[in-house]
Amino acid sequence: MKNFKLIFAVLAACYVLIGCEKGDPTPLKEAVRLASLNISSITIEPAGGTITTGYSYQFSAIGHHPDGSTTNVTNSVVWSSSNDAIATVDSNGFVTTATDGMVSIIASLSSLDGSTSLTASSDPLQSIEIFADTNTPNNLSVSACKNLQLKAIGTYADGVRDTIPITSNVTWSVDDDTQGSISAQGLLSTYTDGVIGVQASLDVIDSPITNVTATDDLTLVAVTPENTTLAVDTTLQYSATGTYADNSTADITDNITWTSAPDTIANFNTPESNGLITAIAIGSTTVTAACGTDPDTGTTNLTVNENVVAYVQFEDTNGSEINPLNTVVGVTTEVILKEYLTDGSSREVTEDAQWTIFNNTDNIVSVNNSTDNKGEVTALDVGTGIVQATYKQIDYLLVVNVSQP
Amino acid sequence: MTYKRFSFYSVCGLLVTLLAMPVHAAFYTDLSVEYQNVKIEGQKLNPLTARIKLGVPYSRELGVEASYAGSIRDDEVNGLKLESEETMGLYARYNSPDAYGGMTIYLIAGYAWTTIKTSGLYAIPEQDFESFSWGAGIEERSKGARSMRYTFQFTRYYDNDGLTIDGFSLGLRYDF
Repeated sequence: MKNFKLIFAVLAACYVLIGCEKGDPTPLKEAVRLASLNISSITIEPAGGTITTGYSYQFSAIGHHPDGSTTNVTNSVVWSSSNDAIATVDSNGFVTTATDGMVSIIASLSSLDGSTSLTASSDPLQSIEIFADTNTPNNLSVSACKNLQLKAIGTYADGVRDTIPITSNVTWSVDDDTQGSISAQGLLSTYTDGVIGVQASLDVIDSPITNVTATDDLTLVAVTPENTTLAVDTTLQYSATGTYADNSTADITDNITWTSAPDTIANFNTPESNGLITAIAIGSTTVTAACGTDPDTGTTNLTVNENVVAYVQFEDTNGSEINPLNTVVGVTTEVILKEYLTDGSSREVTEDAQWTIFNNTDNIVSVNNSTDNKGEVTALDVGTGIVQATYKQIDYLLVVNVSQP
Repeated sequence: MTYKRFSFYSVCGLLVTLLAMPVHAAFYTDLSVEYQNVKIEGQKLNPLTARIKLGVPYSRELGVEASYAGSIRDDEVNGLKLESEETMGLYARYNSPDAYGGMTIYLIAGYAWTTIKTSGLYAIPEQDFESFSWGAGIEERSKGARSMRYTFQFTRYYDNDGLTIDGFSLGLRYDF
């Protein structure tokens, strides 16, 4: 008996102790995670330079492995500024300068630090130039229907060139939006071959218009999915892959012009619909993807069918099929009639059906056919009853097994 | 003195007090080598410790134990060295009623404190972890010396928030 009391006391003590953990494994987990990543140093990109006071810049933290490979750890590091009065940095490496001065931006990952020195200058910008990574100004080129990342570099009144691009700070524009477009981050998308003029502006300073040549070296356009079918009133996303003269390939879905013929069967709402087609009527149409006027187009056939009912079933309120319905006397169950279409979609048609009792089993079950309450099945007596739902002139039968509560 | 050491020494004092009580037997000590398994962030590290245990049987089935383990070898993952600097535990112990051919099975439950120390490239300050702890073991009486037993024990020291610290020990027990 004495032992039992002791055992009970020990068990009670264990119950109290369970959940009394102390200690935060987070720093240890972070250190092990860092070790697992095997990062030996961190650098910040772009590396140091002059930036314009009052603007914001995106910096990245790069982790270097002992084997020389790198991993972007921008979102894993802790960012800090040596002087928040000059520049602040948020948790994603976005630096905002407030006043002139020199400041260090630091990225820390456990015991590793990487830093870069910045000079914030409010000297007025004197000029802006447009660059691409592999080109020099005014000699930029890209294959037609490909994208090209551009960057804007500013030069100050004192002659100091901004070593950190002001790409995200300038306003980008193109001189002919039928030939291409450019995002706020300087990503130029070309829609055809030819020359397109690009300009970057900041305040009252405009860069010279920089011509980008989209070269005609597209050799093949492949459209997927090929030769497919679609139900009326549904949509399909096409994609296009371009093959170029150097055998490189690129996803050019968003850069090419999509058309269908005849467009009364299915159509792209606009040529810039990015490959999303809508089926309108039953029939067949030919889908064409073209890079401007390039004769190397991609084509495929699309057949549009009627979207028909595949099957109809009785379900409970959780969406599970019920047939038979097993219930007990006195219980009312909400039964839902749902139709499934050939395109995989479904819809509830409970209120569209006429609900009756089949084969004189109304002494076993009753069913509500009143608007807004259709499909409510009440078990009246022990036995088997049959509920009938008539929808689109077809009768669907639900077997109801009723037992004692 | 840290709260951890204060707690540990306080309960050790309680054990010494128990020694003075008319209990089933005197006391025993156990020296063992423990292979720890520290699981964290998908990594398994295996530091080695040396452990001394002091136990007081209250009856044939029940008793209390205090244990202390110190690091004798660290383990490393990509430049991060980890060692279980010290592990302390206080346990209630339940022995199987019968000895199977000189072999005894036992269960322990109590509270454990573990200090993890790191060094190397990704080192962080010492980390203390404490929680409810449990374990199970087997003992076999030595045929040559009746006061000696060989012991093997599994102990779960900590299991919370993605960190698990387990120990597997082999040792020798001596009954006084």
